Amino acid sequence: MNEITTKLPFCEEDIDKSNFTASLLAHCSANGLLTPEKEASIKNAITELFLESLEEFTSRASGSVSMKYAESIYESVLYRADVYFLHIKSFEEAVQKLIGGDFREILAEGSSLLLKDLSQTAGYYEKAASCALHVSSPEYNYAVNEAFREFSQHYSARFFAKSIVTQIDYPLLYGAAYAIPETGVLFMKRYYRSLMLENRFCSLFPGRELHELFLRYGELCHAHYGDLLFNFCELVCNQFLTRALLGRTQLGVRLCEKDFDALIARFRYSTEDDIKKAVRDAFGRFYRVIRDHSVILYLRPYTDIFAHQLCDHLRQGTVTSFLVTTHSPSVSE
Amino acid sequence: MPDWDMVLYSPQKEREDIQTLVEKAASHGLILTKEDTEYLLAENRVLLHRSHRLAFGKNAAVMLAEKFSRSAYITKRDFLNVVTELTEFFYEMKNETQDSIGDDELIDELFDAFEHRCGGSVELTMSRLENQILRGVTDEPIGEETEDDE
Repeated sequence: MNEITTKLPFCEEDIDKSNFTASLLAHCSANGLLTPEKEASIKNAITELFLESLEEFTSRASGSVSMKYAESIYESVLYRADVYFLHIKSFEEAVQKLIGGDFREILAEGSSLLLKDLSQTAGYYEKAASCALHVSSPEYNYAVNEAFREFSQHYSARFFAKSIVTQIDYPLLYGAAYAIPETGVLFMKRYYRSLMLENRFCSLFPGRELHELFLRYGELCHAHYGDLLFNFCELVCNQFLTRALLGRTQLGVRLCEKDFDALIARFRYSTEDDIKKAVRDAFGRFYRVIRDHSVILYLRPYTDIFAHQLCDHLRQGTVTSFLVTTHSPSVSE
Repeated sequence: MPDWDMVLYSPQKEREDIQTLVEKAASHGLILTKEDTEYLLAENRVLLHRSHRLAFGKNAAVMLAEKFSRSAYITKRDFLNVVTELTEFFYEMKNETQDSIGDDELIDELFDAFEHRCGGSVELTMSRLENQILRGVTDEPIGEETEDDE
């Protein structure tokens, strides 16, 4: 790292993650971090690869191409650089590479990383599918059974790198699929890694309990759960963390009315910070039971989200709309 | 995407292509002036823009001009108009076929239809080719009504 990047005039949050290279170039250029020679050399490297990709796209049989294809191919060239930069852990280092690195090498390295990402995504998908939930949710089942097949059959890293050539609607624990900032294979990698971890977590619970929970949740919403678009892992987490807060030591999702009473009695006057701490501690007691380090790391940030929501519902007296009571009592467990 | 003004082709290569065109046209008895070739290049730019296309290789208007300079039907007077009309149609077909047809292939088809099946009529050539390429209809006898016309 040199003097230029130790005091950057912009920060990582200023950069558009879905157009990382273009955005980074624009910021570096606007802030005088690139010499005119460097800018020209970057532009040449991009144009060179772009022209080569255009020739490949038309099988070297055309001298022109429609703008919609040209744009997509150009984006695909930049996407290789996006992949390269997004693999660098430190933002300052990414800026340093842009300023001082050979852009042709960056593009070549990005291509190799993209191929690795594709193979890694396939691995995540297979693992996610191997421990998939048995639920009658079209969106979930599409994500598990169809979407990746479509992606792997039609994805083109060379010409349409930012497209995922499929439509995934099933949301993840941390938000809707469309809210994932990455595009193309990076989107799929993040999505299937998350889904794999969520499925692994859910598979720790008895299938019968989960089925009962989802049915009951549907009843409370006056619909079949399969007709509702929600994240299964979130529901499971909420039930599980509540039970953990109440001192249960076994993995389960069942809660009854008395549990609600106990929860309200215990946390009615607690601050959000108190609840956060209690939830983190409660979750921590299950590390040995869960044993899966990746799952634990993935779920850990959710404990604060859950605590915040629980706190709100406790204050508003709406805990019963946040959690689900199942028919089978859990107090006697 | 940066603004490339629709053309991403080396000016040096373009000058060479124009020189080749002028020589080929002359070998067929067609003399093209500097104004003629400049007109072709300017028209090509307009047509590229209108059809939302980016040029990165040999100019379609120049390729068409080169091919049609040997036509038995075109005179010097209507040469530029014919080439311009065909260039517009050329880009339209490229778009309609999702860029699946190659330049040489399309130009050969156009020339073949123009010279051998349409009696040098630009309108008929375009209509025939459109039917052939987009609808798979081939070899309608001249003057007969097609189902589409009814």
